Amino acid sequence: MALTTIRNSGLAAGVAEWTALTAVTTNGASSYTVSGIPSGVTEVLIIGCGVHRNTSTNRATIQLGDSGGLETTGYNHTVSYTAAGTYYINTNQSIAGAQTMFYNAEYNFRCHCFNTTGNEWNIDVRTFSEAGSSYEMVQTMVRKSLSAELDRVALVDLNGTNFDGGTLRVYYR
Amino acid sequence: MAVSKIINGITGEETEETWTPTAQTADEKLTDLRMVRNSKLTETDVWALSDRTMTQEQTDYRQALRDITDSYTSLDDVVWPTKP
Repeated sequence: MALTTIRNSGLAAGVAEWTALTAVTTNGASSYTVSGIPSGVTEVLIIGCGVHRNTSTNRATIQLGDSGGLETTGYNHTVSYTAAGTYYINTNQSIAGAQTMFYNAEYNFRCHCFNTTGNEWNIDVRTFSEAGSSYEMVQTMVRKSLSAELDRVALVDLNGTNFDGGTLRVYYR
Repeated sequence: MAVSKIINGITGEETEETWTPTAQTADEKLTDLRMVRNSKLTETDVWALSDRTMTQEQTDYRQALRDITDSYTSLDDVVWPTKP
């Protein structure tokens, strides 16, 4: 006989629920900043659905920011991804944000940011896309120290090319 | 100038600004080129196993990959050697 486990769907005591911020349509601009993340947040989840890169030839990134604005330096990466059936890895990359996508395709991603200590954050990005006839992925781990407390996140095309489709959802707890 | 939208995640209020994109630095472009080059070398590492002998074409191909940064500095215009 197979064993089936039925779990209680409620949260364990002390586990905070996610709070959703306003969903954003990513069409017509090259940078989307979602502000309003309150003080004391330790985790931020950013979901991109059907985000389309238009004709961009540079990376699409997640940037974190504080009361001084978005920060564009100090994103210390390890990143790996596939493109056209080949696997690439770079263990020492520093660009102006956490890489979510390298090339111009429609893609879905999940970005989990978690506070480690003080204003230091780890950013974990997983991306899936169908580029042509193949299925591609990007996975990125980044350490980023902010100057002050996190209060905003952004999806930014480093080329300044407008996104032309998709939605961005941001949650925190 | 590029377009930036700032959305207040609580109220939904949206404002629009312009911003100046940061172009990839020469170092970043060279890093990308090296990353792809290294992957291409890795793909052919099996040719260089000690119990195999590479053909001259295979040796030349791998050497051309190692030397690619002598001729090119980014993925924008690189012409890769033909894999034998």
